[in-house]
Amino acid sequence: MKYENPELPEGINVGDEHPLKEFFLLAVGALAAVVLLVALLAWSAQYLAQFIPFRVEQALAEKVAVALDRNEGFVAGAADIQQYLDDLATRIAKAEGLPEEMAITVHYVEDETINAFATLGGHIFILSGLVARLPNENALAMVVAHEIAHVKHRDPIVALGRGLTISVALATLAGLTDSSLLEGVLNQAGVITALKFNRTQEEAADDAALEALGRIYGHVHGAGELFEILRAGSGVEPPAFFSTHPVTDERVAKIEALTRGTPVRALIELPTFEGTAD
Amino acid sequence: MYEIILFLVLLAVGYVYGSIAERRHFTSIRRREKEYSKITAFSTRHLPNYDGPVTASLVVGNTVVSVDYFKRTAAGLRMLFGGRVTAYESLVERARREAILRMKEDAIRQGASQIFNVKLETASITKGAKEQVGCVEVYAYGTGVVVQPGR
Repeated sequence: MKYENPELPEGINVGDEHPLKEFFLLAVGALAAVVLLVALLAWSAQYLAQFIPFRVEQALAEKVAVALDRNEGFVAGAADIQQYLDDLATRIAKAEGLPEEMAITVHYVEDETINAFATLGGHIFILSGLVARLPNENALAMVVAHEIAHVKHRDPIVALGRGLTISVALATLAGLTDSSLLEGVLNQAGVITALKFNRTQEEAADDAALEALGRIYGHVHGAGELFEILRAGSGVEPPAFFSTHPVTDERVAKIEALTRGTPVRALIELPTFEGTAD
Repeated sequence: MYEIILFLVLLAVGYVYGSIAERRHFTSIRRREKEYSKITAFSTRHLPNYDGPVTASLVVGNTVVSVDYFKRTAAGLRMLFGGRVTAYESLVERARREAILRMKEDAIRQGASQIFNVKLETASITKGAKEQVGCVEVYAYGTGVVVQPGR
């Protein structure tokens, strides 16, 4: 019997595929799975959020509204403007057919920022910086109607559900599992002011607002001026793809299409308030 | 953010140094395998019949190779999808061949020209230890045959 060790060829046990190629394929696959999972969760949360009763949302907002006033340093604006906004909101809520149990609370806030936003529990914040720049009631009504439409569509709770689900899902995947996590996130006032509505929600709110305006004034003239002011206030407009708000030009064009052919009626002047200095 | 940067740095360090070490090791393994090709090793348990007197003695070789961070991450990803863990295959291959080479070096030291009944044992040194980069041990041993010079 002859004993020998022949030279064995390489590559029997080890392949010659580049390790980075395999790594990237696997990493991309894993990432895609994570994205898909989070998207699915976010979509479910977004879908389910509309079934949360409005009074639960209100209870949730109660805690937050207090924290908001304290943390953001919000100071209530002049009482006569507040009263005027309350009346306007009541008229618009009726025009939009807002259900009885959905109470709107308007907060007129002293702040130079040109902004207005709707948040949980029917709380709408309108900053004095925006009101001061609006030329007439019609434009102001467009703001209020837009924000009330968000409340009517349950956009704040949907956005909160989606946002919370995404952050909790990502935190869990990253291994930051903490039982107090959810509570901690919920109690931050920042979460409430930074609710992000998507473009579909914004467009739906625009449509509902324009419809309400048409019902109240018989035309939607003046609504477009709001967007001109927002544009002037925000500086450069980001391209449509990056922006959640439908780009101003598109919104103005939409309003122009609606106003075309309708008789131009006098726009309603804003009443002069004691608090406003001209 | 800090964790992500740390992760990417570890990954890059693991990949660069890991692949340099692996390439060097394979070069060294191939060179020494040629060099020691005179020493033959077999897994058969029984020694052949020799004409003259022979001495049998235990020859051993042992090696421990560590996983690098890149390989560990790649293997972790592979565990999600299943399939050949190629990142570890090359590692175990290196450990195995190195252990046999060291066993042959031991045989050369003892004057043995053939090794019979070669066995390999492997152990995972960091078995069960979490969050730790593992290493693998391969131990090769056999019966070295030293042919006595003629009477």
